[in-house]
Amino acid sequence: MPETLTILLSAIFVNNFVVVQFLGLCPFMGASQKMSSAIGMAAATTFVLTLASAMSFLIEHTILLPLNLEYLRIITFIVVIAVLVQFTEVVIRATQPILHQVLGIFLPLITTNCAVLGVALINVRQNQSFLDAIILGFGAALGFSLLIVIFSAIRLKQESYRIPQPFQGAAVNMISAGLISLAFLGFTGMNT
Amino acid sequence: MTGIILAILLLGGLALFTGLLLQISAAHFSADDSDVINAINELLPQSQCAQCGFAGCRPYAEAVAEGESINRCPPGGTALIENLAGLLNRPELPLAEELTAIDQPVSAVIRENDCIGCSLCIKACPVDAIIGAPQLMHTIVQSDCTGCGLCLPPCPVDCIDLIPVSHSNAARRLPNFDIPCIHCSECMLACPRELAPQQLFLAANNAAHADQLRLSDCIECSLCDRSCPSELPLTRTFQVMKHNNKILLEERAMALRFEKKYARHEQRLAGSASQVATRPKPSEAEELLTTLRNQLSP
Repeated sequence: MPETLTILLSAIFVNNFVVVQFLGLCPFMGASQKMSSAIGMAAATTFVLTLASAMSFLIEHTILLPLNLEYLRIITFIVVIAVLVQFTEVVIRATQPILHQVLGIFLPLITTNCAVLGVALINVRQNQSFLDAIILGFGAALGFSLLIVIFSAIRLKQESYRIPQPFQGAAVNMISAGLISLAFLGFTGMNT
Repeated sequence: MTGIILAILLLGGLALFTGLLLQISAAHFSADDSDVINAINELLPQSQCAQCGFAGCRPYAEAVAEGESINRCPPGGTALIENLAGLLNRPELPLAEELTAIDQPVSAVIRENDCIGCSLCIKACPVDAIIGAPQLMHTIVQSDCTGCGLCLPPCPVDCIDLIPVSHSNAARRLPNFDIPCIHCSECMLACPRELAPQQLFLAANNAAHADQLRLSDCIECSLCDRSCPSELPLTRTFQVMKHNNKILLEERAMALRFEKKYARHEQRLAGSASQVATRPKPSEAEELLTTLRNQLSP
Protein backbone atom coordinates (compact mmCIF):
# COMPACT_ATOMS: atom_id res chain seq x y z
CA MET A 1 0.00 0.00 0.00
CA PRO A 2 2.62 2.59 -0.96
CA GLU A 3 -0.01 5.11 -2.08
CA THR A 4 -1.84 4.96 1.23
CA LEU A 5 1.45 5.47 3.03
CA THR A 6 2.22 8.43 0.79
CA ILE A 7 -1.14 10.02 1.63
CA LEU A 8 -0.57 9.48 5.35
CA LEU A 9 3.00 10.80 5.43
CA SER A 10 2.26 13.74 3.18
CA ALA A 11 -0.69 14.73 5.38
CA ILE A 12 1.52 14.59 8.47
CA PHE A 13 4.69 16.26 7.19
CA VAL A 14 4.57 17.69 3.67
CA ASN A 15 1.09 19.22 3.67
CA ASN A 16 0.79 19.59 7.42
CA PHE A 17 -2.54 21.25 8.05
CA VAL A 18 -1.31 23.56 10.78
CA VAL A 19 2.02 24.96 9.69
CA VAL A 20 1.90 24.48 5.91
CA GLN A 21 -1.77 25.05 5.09
CA PHE A 22 -2.45 27.22 8.17
CA LEU A 23 -5.70 25.53 9.18
CA GLY A 24 -6.72 25.03 12.80
CA LEU A 25 -4.44 27.64 14.35
CA CYS A 26 -6.94 28.58 17.07
CA PRO A 27 -6.69 25.42 19.22
CA PHE A 28 -3.01 25.19 18.26
CA MET A 29 -2.40 28.49 20.07
CA GLY A 30 -5.09 28.19 22.71
CA ALA A 31 -4.72 24.68 24.09
CA SER A 32 -0.95 24.33 24.15
CA GLN A 33 -0.06 25.99 27.47
CA LYS A 34 0.39 22.65 29.15
CA MET A 35 1.50 19.29 27.82
CA SER A 36 -1.53 17.56 29.38
CA SER A 37 -4.04 19.89 27.73
CA ALA A 38 -2.16 19.67 24.42
CA ILE A 39 -2.33 15.87 24.47
CA GLY A 40 -6.01 15.98 25.42
CA MET A 41 -6.74 18.39 22.60
CA ALA A 42 -4.73 16.26 20.17
CA ALA A 43 -6.65 13.12 21.15
CA ALA A 44 -10.03 14.86 20.87
CA THR A 45 -9.18 16.37 17.49
CA THR A 46 -7.83 13.05 16.19
CA PHE A 47 -11.08 11.33 17.13
CA VAL A 48 -13.26 14.03 15.60
CA LEU A 49 -11.18 14.50 12.44
CA THR A 50 -10.92 10.81 11.58
CA LEU A 51 -14.59 10.10 12.17
CA ALA A 52 -15.69 13.32 10.47
CA SER A 53 -13.76 12.52 7.31
CA ALA A 54 -15.28 9.02 7.20
CA MET A 55 -18.84 10.20 7.92
CA SER A 56 -18.69 13.12 5.49
CA PHE A 57 -17.38 10.82 2.76
CA LEU A 58 -20.25 8.39 3.37
CA ILE A 59 -22.85 11.16 3.39
CA GLU A 60 -21.40 12.72 0.24
CA HIS A 61 -21.42 9.47 -1.73
CA THR A 62 -24.59 7.82 -0.43
CA ILE A 63 -26.91 10.79 0.03
CA LEU A 64 -25.75 14.05 -1.49
CA LEU A 65 -24.47 12.86 -4.90
CA PRO A 66 -27.35 10.45 -5.74
CA LEU A 67 -29.95 13.05 -4.75
CA ASN A 68 -28.18 15.95 -6.52
CA LEU A 69 -27.95 17.91 -3.27
CA GLU A 70 -24.27 18.94 -3.55
CA TYR A 71 -25.19 22.51 -2.60
CA LEU A 72 -26.04 21.26 0.92
CA ARG A 73 -22.53 19.86 1.33
CA ILE A 74 -21.07 22.43 3.71
CA ILE A 75 -24.06 22.69 6.04
CA THR A 76 -24.44 18.89 6.24
CA PHE A 77 -20.77 18.44 7.00
CA ILE A 78 -20.94 21.10 9.70
CA VAL A 79 -23.90 19.33 11.32
CA VAL A 80 -22.00 16.04 11.29
CA ILE A 81 -18.87 17.64 12.74
CA ALA A 82 -20.84 19.47 15.42
CA VAL A 83 -22.51 16.23 16.50
CA LEU A 84 -19.18 14.42 16.70
CA VAL A 85 -17.69 17.25 18.75
CA GLN A 86 -20.67 17.29 21.08
CA PHE A 87 -20.37 13.54 21.54
CA THR A 88 -16.64 13.90 22.31
CA GLU A 89 -17.42 16.59 24.85
CA VAL A 90 -20.01 14.42 26.60
CA VAL A 91 -17.54 11.52 26.78
CA ILE A 92 -14.63 13.68 28.00
CA ARG A 93 -16.81 15.38 30.59
CA ALA A 94 -17.84 12.02 32.01
CA THR A 95 -14.44 10.34 31.93
CA GLN A 96 -11.88 13.18 32.32
CA PRO A 97 -13.57 16.04 34.22
CA ILE A 98 -10.32 17.93 34.85
CA LEU A 99 -9.31 17.77 31.20
CA HIS A 100 -12.81 19.02 30.36
CA GLN A 101 -12.25 22.04 32.62
CA VAL A 102 -8.78 22.69 31.19
CA LEU A 103 -9.88 22.53 27.56
CA GLY A 104 -12.94 24.65 28.39
CA ILE A 105 -14.22 26.53 25.36
CA PHE A 106 -11.63 24.99 23.03
CA LEU A 107 -13.45 21.66 23.10
CA PRO A 108 -16.70 22.90 21.50
CA LEU A 109 -14.55 25.09 19.27
CA ILE A 110 -13.24 21.98 17.49
CA THR A 111 -16.47 22.40 15.51
CA THR A 112 -15.09 25.58 14.02
CA ASN A 113 -11.59 24.16 13.66
CA CYS A 114 -11.21 24.77 9.94
CA ALA A 115 -8.89 21.78 9.63
CA VAL A 116 -11.84 19.46 10.28
CA LEU A 117 -14.13 20.96 7.66
CA GLY A 118 -11.11 21.52 5.42
CA VAL A 119 -10.21 17.83 5.36
CA ALA A 120 -13.82 16.83 4.67
CA LEU A 121 -14.02 19.25 1.74
CA ILE A 122 -10.58 18.29 0.38
CA ASN A 123 -11.68 14.64 0.41
CA VAL A 124 -14.62 15.53 -1.79
CA ARG A 125 -12.55 17.67 -4.12
CA GLN A 126 -9.88 15.01 -4.68
CA ASN A 127 -12.40 12.24 -5.49
CA GLN A 128 -10.60 9.71 -3.33
CA SER A 129 -11.67 6.24 -2.24
CA PHE A 130 -13.23 5.70 1.19
CA LEU A 131 -10.02 4.28 2.66
CA ASP A 132 -7.95 7.15 1.30
CA ALA A 133 -10.41 9.63 2.79
CA ILE A 134 -10.05 8.09 6.25
CA ILE A 135 -6.27 7.93 5.89
CA LEU A 136 -6.11 11.59 4.91
CA GLY A 137 -8.26 12.56 7.90
CA PHE A 138 -6.17 10.44 10.25
CA GLY A 139 -2.93 11.80 8.79
CA ALA A 140 -4.14 15.38 9.16
CA ALA A 141 -5.08 14.65 12.77
CA LEU A 142 -1.69 13.08 13.47
CA GLY A 143 0.00 16.11 11.93
CA PHE A 144 -2.07 18.40 14.14
CA SER A 145 -1.27 16.28 17.22
CA LEU A 146 2.45 16.28 16.41
CA LEU A 147 2.49 20.05 16.01
CA ILE A 148 0.50 20.85 19.13
CA VAL A 149 2.73 18.57 21.25
CA ILE A 150 5.91 20.09 19.77
CA PHE A 151 4.54 23.58 20.34
CA SER A 152 3.54 22.89 23.92
CA ALA A 153 7.03 21.49 24.63
CA ILE A 154 8.53 24.68 23.22
CA ARG A 155 6.19 26.80 25.35
CA LEU A 156 7.14 24.78 28.43
CA LYS A 157 10.79 25.56 27.75
CA GLN A 158 10.05 29.23 27.11
CA GLU A 159 8.88 29.58 30.68
CA SER A 160 12.46 29.37 31.92
CA TYR A 161 13.79 31.92 29.43
CA ARG A 162 13.77 35.61 30.01
CA ILE A 163 11.89 37.01 27.04
CA PRO A 164 12.10 40.78 26.40
CA GLN A 165 8.95 42.61 27.45
CA PRO A 166 7.62 43.49 23.95
CA PHE A 167 7.88 39.85 22.84
CA GLN A 168 6.17 38.25 25.80
CA GLY A 169 2.94 36.31 25.42
CA ALA A 170 1.33 35.99 22.01
CA ALA A 171 4.24 37.62 20.13
CA VAL A 172 6.84 35.01 21.00
CA ASN A 173 4.30 32.25 20.38
CA MET A 174 3.65 33.56 16.88
CA ILE A 175 7.39 33.76 16.22
CA SER A 176 7.97 30.19 17.44
CA ALA A 177 5.05 28.94 15.35
CA GLY A 178 6.54 30.72 12.34
CA LEU A 179 9.91 29.05 12.95
CA ILE A 180 8.27 25.62 13.18
CA SER A 181 6.47 26.41 9.94
CA LEU A 182 9.79 27.27 8.28
CA ALA A 183 11.23 23.98 9.49
CA PHE A 184 8.28 22.06 8.06
CA LEU A 185 8.68 23.81 4.71
CA GLY A 186 11.85 21.73 4.47
CA PHE A 187 9.64 18.71 3.73
CA THR A 188 8.26 20.33 0.54
CA GLY A 189 9.16 18.33 -2.56
CA MET A 190 9.18 14.99 -0.73
CA ASN A 191 5.72 14.39 -2.19
CA THR A 192 6.87 12.14 -5.02
CA MET B 1 -39.81 21.53 -6.07
CA THR B 2 -38.84 17.95 -5.21
CA GLY B 3 -35.30 19.18 -4.68
CA ILE B 4 -36.41 21.56 -1.95
CA ILE B 5 -38.53 18.90 -0.27
CA LEU B 6 -35.62 16.45 -0.45
CA ALA B 7 -33.28 19.06 1.05
CA ILE B 8 -35.69 19.80 3.90
CA LEU B 9 -36.22 16.10 4.53
CA LEU B 10 -32.47 15.43 4.49
CA LEU B 11 -31.52 18.20 6.90
CA GLY B 12 -34.50 17.60 9.18
CA GLY B 13 -33.84 13.85 9.26
CA LEU B 14 -30.15 14.37 9.91
CA ALA B 15 -30.88 16.80 12.76
CA LEU B 16 -33.47 14.48 14.30
CA PHE B 17 -31.28 11.40 14.04
CA THR B 18 -28.13 13.05 15.41
CA GLY B 19 -30.10 14.81 18.15
CA LEU B 20 -31.50 11.47 19.31
CA LEU B 21 -28.00 9.99 19.21
CA LEU B 22 -26.64 12.81 21.37
CA GLN B 23 -29.46 12.50 23.87
CA ILE B 24 -28.81 8.79 24.26
CA SER B 25 -25.08 9.32 24.71
CA ALA B 26 -25.65 12.13 27.22
CA ALA B 27 -27.92 9.86 29.25
CA HIS B 28 -25.37 7.07 29.04
CA PHE B 29 -22.34 9.14 30.16
CA SER B 30 -23.43 11.11 33.19
CA ALA B 31 -21.32 14.14 34.09
CA ASP B 32 -19.43 14.02 37.36
CA ASP B 33 -17.60 17.12 38.56
CA SER B 34 -16.38 15.77 41.91
CA ASP B 35 -12.80 15.24 40.64
CA VAL B 36 -12.60 18.88 39.53
CA ILE B 37 -14.05 20.11 42.83
CA ASN B 38 -11.56 18.01 44.80
CA ALA B 39 -8.64 19.27 42.72
CA ILE B 40 -9.71 22.90 43.30
CA ASN B 41 -10.43 22.29 46.98
CA GLU B 42 -6.93 20.87 47.45
CA LEU B 43 -5.43 24.16 46.29
CA LEU B 44 -7.54 26.36 48.59
CA PRO B 45 -6.01 27.36 51.94
CA GLN B 46 -8.95 25.90 53.94
CA SER B 47 -9.04 28.87 56.30
CA GLN B 48 -12.87 28.75 56.00
CA CYS B 49 -12.95 32.56 56.30
CA ALA B 50 -15.96 32.94 53.97
CA GLN B 51 -14.56 36.19 52.53
CA CYS B 52 -15.26 34.81 49.06
CA GLY B 53 -18.97 35.03 49.83
CA PHE B 54 -19.45 31.28 50.19
CA ALA B 55 -19.92 29.35 53.42
CA GLY B 56 -16.49 27.74 53.31
CA CYS B 57 -13.68 26.56 51.09
CA ARG B 58 -15.47 23.57 49.62
CA PRO B 59 -18.58 25.53 48.58
CA TYR B 60 -16.24 28.02 46.89
CA ALA B 61 -14.46 25.14 45.10
CA GLU B 62 -17.84 23.91 43.87
CA ALA B 63 -18.70 27.42 42.65
CA VAL B 64 -15.34 27.75 40.85
CA ALA B 65 -15.95 24.45 39.07
CA GLU B 66 -19.27 25.91 37.91
CA GLY B 67 -17.56 29.04 36.56
CA GLU B 68 -17.20 31.44 39.54
CA SER B 69 -14.16 33.71 39.18
CA ILE B 70 -10.88 32.41 40.65
CA ASN B 71 -9.85 35.68 42.32
CA ARG B 72 -12.06 35.68 45.41
CA CYS B 73 -9.74 34.13 48.01
CA PRO B 74 -7.67 36.70 49.98
CA PRO B 75 -5.84 34.12 52.18
CA GLY B 76 -4.69 32.25 49.08
CA GLY B 77 -3.36 35.45 47.53
CA THR B 78 -1.71 35.67 44.12
CA ALA B 79 -0.07 32.26 44.49
CA LEU B 80 -3.48 30.60 44.67
CA ILE B 81 -4.79 32.58 41.69
CA GLU B 82 -1.74 31.45 39.66
CA ASN B 83 -2.27 27.83 40.67
CA LEU B 84 -5.99 27.89 39.89
CA ALA B 85 -5.36 29.60 36.55
CA GLY B 86 -2.87 26.86 35.74
CA LEU B 87 -5.21 24.07 36.80
CA LEU B 88 -8.26 25.37 34.98
CA ASN B 89 -6.51 27.07 32.05
CA ARG B 90 -8.15 30.42 32.82
CA PRO B 91 -6.49 33.84 32.65
CA GLU B 92 -4.83 35.14 35.81
CA LEU B 93 -6.73 38.00 37.45
CA PRO B 94 -5.87 40.41 40.26
CA LEU B 95 -7.75 39.86 43.52
CA ALA B 96 -11.41 40.97 43.29
CA GLU B 97 -11.75 44.69 44.04
CA GLU B 98 -14.13 44.47 46.98
CA LEU B 99 -11.76 42.13 48.85
CA THR B 100 -8.65 43.26 50.71
CA ALA B 101 -5.43 41.36 50.17
CA ILE B 102 -3.71 39.80 53.19
CA ASP B 103 -0.05 40.80 53.01
CA GLN B 104 1.22 38.35 55.57
CA PRO B 105 -0.31 35.50 57.54
CA VAL B 106 -2.11 36.59 60.71
CA SER B 107 -3.41 34.83 63.76
CA ALA B 108 -6.07 35.92 66.26
CA VAL B 109 -5.11 36.50 69.89
CA ILE B 110 -7.47 37.24 72.82
CA ARG B 111 -6.41 39.94 75.30
CA GLU B 112 -7.24 37.72 78.20
CA ASN B 113 -7.55 40.50 80.80
CA ASP B 114 -10.42 42.05 78.85
CA CYS B 115 -12.30 38.82 78.07
CA ILE B 116 -15.68 38.63 79.83
CA GLY B 117 -16.31 34.99 79.00
CA CYS B 118 -19.38 35.51 76.84
CA SER B 119 -18.43 32.51 74.62
CA LEU B 120 -19.76 34.23 71.48
CA CYS B 121 -16.41 33.82 69.70
CA ILE B 122 -16.39 30.09 70.35
CA LYS B 123 -19.50 29.66 68.23
CA ALA B 124 -18.07 31.85 65.47
CA CYS B 125 -14.78 29.97 65.08
CA PRO B 126 -15.06 27.67 62.03
CA VAL B 127 -12.22 25.36 63.08
CA ASP B 128 -12.86 25.18 66.87
CA ALA B 129 -9.55 26.85 67.72
CA ILE B 130 -10.99 28.76 70.73
CA ILE B 131 -11.24 27.01 74.06
CA GLY B 132 -13.11 28.27 77.10
CA ALA B 133 -16.52 28.08 78.75
CA PRO B 134 -19.27 30.60 79.59
CA GLN B 135 -18.25 33.00 82.38
CA LEU B 136 -14.65 31.81 82.08
CA MET B 137 -11.77 33.36 80.18
CA HIS B 138 -11.22 32.09 76.60
CA THR B 139 -8.02 31.58 74.70
CA ILE B 140 -7.08 30.69 71.13
CA VAL B 141 -4.92 27.69 70.30
CA GLN B 142 -2.38 29.39 68.03
CA SER B 143 -1.48 26.30 66.00
CA ASP B 144 -5.16 25.82 65.09
CA CYS B 145 -5.98 29.43 64.19
CA THR B 146 -6.42 30.10 60.47
CA GLY B 147 -6.46 33.89 60.93
CA CYS B 148 -9.88 34.16 59.27
CA GLY B 149 -11.03 36.97 61.62
CA LEU B 150 -14.57 35.58 61.97
CA CYS B 151 -14.32 35.79 65.78
CA LEU B 152 -13.77 39.57 65.73
CA PRO B 153 -17.27 40.86 64.90
CA PRO B 154 -19.20 38.88 67.58
CA CYS B 155 -16.89 39.96 70.45
CA PRO B 156 -18.83 42.55 72.53
CA VAL B 157 -15.71 44.02 74.18
CA ASP B 158 -13.35 43.90 71.17
CA CYS B 159 -10.70 41.97 73.03
CA ILE B 160 -9.48 39.96 69.99
CA ASP B 161 -6.58 41.21 67.85
CA LEU B 162 -5.18 39.90 64.57
CA ILE B 163 -1.42 39.67 65.00
CA PRO B 164 1.03 38.93 62.15
CA VAL B 165 2.65 35.52 62.43
CA SER B 166 6.46 35.58 62.45
CA HIS B 167 7.88 35.61 58.95
CA SER B 168 10.68 33.05 59.32
CA ASN B 169 8.71 30.48 57.37
CA ALA B 170 7.95 32.60 54.32
CA ALA B 171 8.66 31.35 50.80
CA ARG B 172 11.98 32.59 49.43
CA ARG B 173 12.61 34.07 46.01
CA LEU B 174 14.64 32.22 43.39
CA PRO B 175 18.04 33.84 42.77
CA ASN B 176 18.55 35.96 39.66
CA PHE B 177 21.09 35.15 36.97
CA ASP B 178 22.50 36.96 33.92
CA ILE B 179 23.17 34.30 31.30
CA PRO B 180 20.52 31.62 30.67
CA CYS B 181 21.22 27.89 30.71
CA ILE B 182 22.82 26.84 27.40
CA HIS B 183 22.07 23.12 27.93
CA CYS B 184 25.73 22.07 27.74
CA SER B 185 25.08 19.41 30.44
CA GLU B 186 28.50 19.92 32.02
CA CYS B 187 26.71 19.93 35.41
CA MET B 188 25.28 16.50 34.71
CA LEU B 189 28.80 15.09 34.43
CA ALA B 190 29.90 16.91 37.57
CA CYS B 191 27.00 15.82 39.82
CA PRO B 192 28.11 13.11 42.29
CA ARG B 193 24.50 11.96 42.82
CA GLU B 194 23.93 11.54 39.07
CA LEU B 195 21.12 14.11 38.98
CA ALA B 196 20.34 16.35 36.01
CA PRO B 197 20.97 19.84 37.45
CA GLN B 198 20.13 21.66 34.21
CA GLN B 199 16.70 20.03 34.08
CA LEU B 200 16.13 20.65 37.79
CA PHE B 201 17.03 24.29 37.19
CA LEU B 202 14.40 24.58 34.47
CA ALA B 203 11.84 22.93 36.76
CA ALA B 204 12.32 25.67 39.38
CA ASN B 205 8.66 26.66 39.26
CA ASN B 206 7.26 23.16 38.92
CA ALA B 207 7.40 21.25 42.21
CA ALA B 208 5.96 18.03 40.78
CA HIS B 209 8.48 17.91 37.96
CA ALA B 210 11.35 18.71 40.33
CA ASP B 211 10.22 15.83 42.50
CA GLN B 212 10.35 13.49 39.51
CA LEU B 213 13.92 14.67 38.88
CA ARG B 214 14.81 13.69 42.49
CA LEU B 215 15.36 17.17 43.91
CA SER B 216 15.53 15.72 47.41
CA ASP B 217 18.62 13.69 46.41
CA CYS B 218 20.66 16.88 45.88
CA ILE B 219 23.32 17.14 48.59
CA GLU B 220 24.08 20.81 47.77
CA CYS B 221 27.76 20.07 47.16
CA SER B 222 27.98 22.98 44.63
CA LEU B 223 30.08 20.96 42.17
CA CYS B 224 27.52 21.87 39.47
CA ASP B 225 28.03 25.58 40.21
CA ARG B 226 31.73 25.24 39.55
CA SER B 227 31.28 23.33 36.30
CA CYS B 228 28.67 25.75 34.85
CA PRO B 229 30.03 27.97 32.02
CA SER B 230 27.05 30.36 32.45
CA GLU B 231 27.84 30.63 36.17
CA LEU B 232 24.23 29.90 37.06
CA PRO B 233 23.36 29.94 40.80
CA LEU B 234 22.40 26.25 40.66
CA THR B 235 22.96 25.20 44.26
CA ARG B 236 21.28 28.31 45.66
CA THR B 237 18.29 27.69 43.38
CA PHE B 238 18.03 24.10 44.62
CA GLN B 239 18.19 25.30 48.23
CA VAL B 240 15.35 27.74 47.64
CA MET B 241 13.36 25.08 45.80
CA LYS B 242 13.75 22.63 48.68
CA HIS B 243 12.79 25.31 51.21
CA ASN B 244 9.71 26.36 49.24
CA ASN B 245 8.66 22.75 48.69
CA LYS B 246 8.90 22.13 52.43
CA ILE B 247 6.69 25.16 53.14
CA LEU B 248 4.22 24.03 50.52
CA LEU B 249 3.99 20.59 52.11
CA GLU B 250 3.50 22.12 55.56
CA GLU B 251 0.76 24.38 54.22
CA ARG B 252 -0.95 21.41 52.61
CA ALA B 253 -0.83 19.47 55.89
CA MET B 254 -2.28 22.48 57.76
CA ALA B 255 -5.02 22.93 55.17
CA LEU B 256 -5.97 19.26 55.47
CA ARG B 257 -6.20 19.60 59.26
CA PHE B 258 -8.29 22.78 59.01
CA GLU B 259 -10.60 21.09 56.53
CA LYS B 260 -11.19 18.16 58.89
CA LYS B 261 -11.76 20.43 61.87
CA TYR B 262 -14.23 22.52 59.87
CA ALA B 263 -16.12 19.39 58.82
CA ARG B 264 -16.35 18.28 62.45
CA HIS B 265 -17.48 21.76 63.50
CA GLU B 266 -20.25 21.78 60.89
CA GLN B 267 -21.31 18.27 61.85
CA ARG B 268 -21.53 19.21 65.52
CA LEU B 269 -23.55 22.35 64.80
CA ALA B 270 -25.96 20.39 62.61
CA GLY B 271 -26.28 17.76 65.35
CA SER B 272 -27.10 20.25 68.08
CA ALA B 273 -29.52 22.10 65.78
CA SER B 274 -31.44 18.90 65.08
CA GLN B 275 -31.52 18.12 68.81
CA VAL B 276 -33.01 21.54 69.49
CA ALA B 277 -35.57 21.05 66.73
CA THR B 278 -36.78 17.67 68.04
CA ARG B 279 -36.91 18.77 71.68
CA PRO B 280 -40.58 18.94 72.96
CA LYS B 281 -41.86 22.53 73.03
CA PRO B 282 -43.08 24.12 76.32
CA SER B 283 -46.65 24.51 75.01
CA GLU B 284 -46.75 20.85 74.02
CA ALA B 285 -45.48 19.88 77.48
CA GLU B 286 -48.30 21.90 79.09
CA GLU B 287 -50.91 20.17 76.95
CA LEU B 288 -49.41 16.77 77.73
CA LEU B 289 -49.54 17.54 81.46
CA THR B 290 -53.15 18.71 81.38
CA THR B 291 -54.28 15.64 79.44
CA LEU B 292 -52.46 13.41 81.91
CA ARG B 293 -54.06 15.24 84.86
CA ASN B 294 -57.49 14.90 83.29
CA GLN B 295 -56.96 11.19 82.79
CA LEU B 296 -55.79 10.70 86.38
CA SER B 297 -58.49 12.73 88.11
CA PRO B 298 -61.85 10.98 87.76
